[in-house]
Amino acid sequence: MKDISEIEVHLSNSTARDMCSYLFQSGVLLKVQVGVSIKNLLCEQLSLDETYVDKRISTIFLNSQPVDDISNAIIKNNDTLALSSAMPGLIGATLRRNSHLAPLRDTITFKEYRNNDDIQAYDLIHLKLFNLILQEVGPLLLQNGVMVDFEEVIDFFQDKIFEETKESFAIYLDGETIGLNELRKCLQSSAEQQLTLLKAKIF
Amino acid sequence: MGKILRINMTDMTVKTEELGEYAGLGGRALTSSIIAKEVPPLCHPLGPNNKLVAAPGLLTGTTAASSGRCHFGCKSPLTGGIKEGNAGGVASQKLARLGYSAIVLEGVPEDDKLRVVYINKDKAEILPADELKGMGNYQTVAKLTERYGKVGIISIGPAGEQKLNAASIAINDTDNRPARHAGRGGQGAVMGSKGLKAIVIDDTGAPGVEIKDKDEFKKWSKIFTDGLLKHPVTGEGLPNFGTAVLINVINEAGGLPTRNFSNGQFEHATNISGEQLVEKCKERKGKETHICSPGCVIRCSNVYNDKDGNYITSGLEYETIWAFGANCNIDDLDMVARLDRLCDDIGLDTIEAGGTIAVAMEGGLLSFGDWDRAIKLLDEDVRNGTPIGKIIGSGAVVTGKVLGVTRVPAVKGQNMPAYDPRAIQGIGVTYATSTMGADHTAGYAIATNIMKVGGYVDPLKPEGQVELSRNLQIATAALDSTGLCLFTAFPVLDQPETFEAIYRMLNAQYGLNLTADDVTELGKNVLKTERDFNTRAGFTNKDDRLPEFMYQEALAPHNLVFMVKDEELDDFWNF
Repeated sequence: MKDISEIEVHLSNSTARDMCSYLFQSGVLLKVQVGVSIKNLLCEQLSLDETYVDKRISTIFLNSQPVDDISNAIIKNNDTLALSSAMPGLIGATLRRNSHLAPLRDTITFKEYRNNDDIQAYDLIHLKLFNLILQEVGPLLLQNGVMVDFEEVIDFFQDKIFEETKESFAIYLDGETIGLNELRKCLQSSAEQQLTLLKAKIF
Repeated sequence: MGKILRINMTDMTVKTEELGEYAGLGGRALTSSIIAKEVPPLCHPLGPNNKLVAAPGLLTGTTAASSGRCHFGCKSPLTGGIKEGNAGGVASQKLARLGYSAIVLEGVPEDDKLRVVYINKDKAEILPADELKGMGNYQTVAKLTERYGKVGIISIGPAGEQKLNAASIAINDTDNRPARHAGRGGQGAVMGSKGLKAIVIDDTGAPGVEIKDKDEFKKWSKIFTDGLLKHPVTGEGLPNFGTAVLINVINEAGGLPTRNFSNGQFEHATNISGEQLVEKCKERKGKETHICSPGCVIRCSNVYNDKDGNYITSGLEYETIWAFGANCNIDDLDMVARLDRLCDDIGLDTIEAGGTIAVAMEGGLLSFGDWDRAIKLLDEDVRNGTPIGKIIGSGAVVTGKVLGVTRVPAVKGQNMPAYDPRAIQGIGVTYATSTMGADHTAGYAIATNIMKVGGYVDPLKPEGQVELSRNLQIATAALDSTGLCLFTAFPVLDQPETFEAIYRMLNAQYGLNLTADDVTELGKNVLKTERDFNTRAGFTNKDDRLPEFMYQEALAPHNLVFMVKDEELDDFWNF
């Protein structure tokens, strides 16, 4: 069985939101230029508006460490980046970027700031999106395509999202249209594959 | 200013008096002042000398947004120290509109009969209520509503009747469900010790709250509301996802206590996240946003239904989802919701109950993840008062002792909430030094630099944790006196005019000239009053410590122990 290189789903906005929720909370893989700052990644490579990044993505973790200065935090191969909007609670506020409560989480704060002298190559990083950022950025990234662990792809298409949706949808496997049940069979027979590209066209 | 309603459960008398020396106080400031002055610190919490105070905040009963908190105070049977806990619901505003600043329950009855207190604009009376014995809060509210119509109801469940240390006090919400609880510290047990099943508050024809300068109040009330609505947390984050939105984020930070505080990340967190909760609420025709008390614009509550669309519970919050979810290794929101419903019905603090079950899991009474046994422990054992039910209902420390568990995450006898202090060390300072025991809300109000509480704190100064915690606790104590929900603290942090609106509303309501400094002083006085009570009750600086294992067991993924030194913790009270 040959590898499945791309699955594209044509679906409605609301089903796309469900899909994003499923995928981005636990994280997807993105092939990006690493060795650059988080800000560069978000604004230049993912094309997010700078004001949106500054105001809306107010809580950022790099490998579980809250980041304050995203212009000087360099992202590397295999890093996990998690993006969230402003959070409630004392701890929510403490975890915010440049919070005046940052000393409360000083021991876990990201501090490996350095000059951007890493090799700037294209490689994979893990990206997680939460809450409002998931809803707002998730669909944009999904339209461009994200790499997903193959086991998760199998689980995802076994999930009830597509069975229960009342909206119409279509699935394309490497450019050819395919039904949901047929896709499930194909995925099972390629179960040893590690990753595949998942894309969405939202109508 | 309102009046105090004193209800003596020994001689069954009721009397109304002026506020007197308590004039100018409300909410936590009032409950703590009454307890500190009138309750002997060494008395038994369930004996005749303890008192239970219920008090609206200073702004409660007005049109100020999100100002409907009801504050309760007593000597805690769980901690042995002073206790203040508060909840939303409809009761507090009704009490304020009837002209009461506080109800003070005194004495204990000489028989074992149950009673209710009924209050309306003309009278307050103690009535027999033995027919409510053993009833859960849901049935109690239904029966009392049948009898009295649309009223505010403050009640206890079987846990309170049994005087269990983890018993909560329930208040009915805007849908007339007893889903809002003053959970912490066993205040329900104190109400139970007084033989009181419920307080029924009927505000029909009530005079309402007097406002000295209505135009000025209206102006600042609008500024305050606008501040809440435009802020990303109170205007967008909380209404969209509720407090459960924190699950993914705290998990990512490595601070979500998992399997009785043995790990900082729960591998199945996405199954119990706020995002997942919202999807289920929508899918099952519950409510993903909901108010717990009239006039709340934050709407952080929710209504959670089962897969067939039948109501399970309301206000499924971050702390509860964590307590029964990650902490007990249960990754099924439906089971967490059922456990929450049981706690609301039996009248148990969900943080203490979840923490206790996790300790019991570690002690081998049941396995981590065994939701079926956890449900039976609450529904059969605690509800019916079996020996094991009484142990579980007595909290994590008692359960840990009985089962020989050394990892008991408690301070001053109270189980920790949903943030591991080894990951976020600053919260550990608050857990250790709070007069309430391990309490995440004690240092919640984040108005530090705006209020200039204790001066400006340099955000780049790593050693500022004690100072920050102190400032936060002072600010919180002040906010807790107004009746405002603590979530209003976020706009107050970011928007100076929103903070200003708080004391401007107070000035307009009472004809005062308060400044920001006065608000700070109020917070300091509350903390000092509470600390003084605890000192007289026998607490020392040695009680301001985290449990031993947190200094010894490193927490993954950051592999940290708690590192704040004892002398730094002792420095907390130098103000």
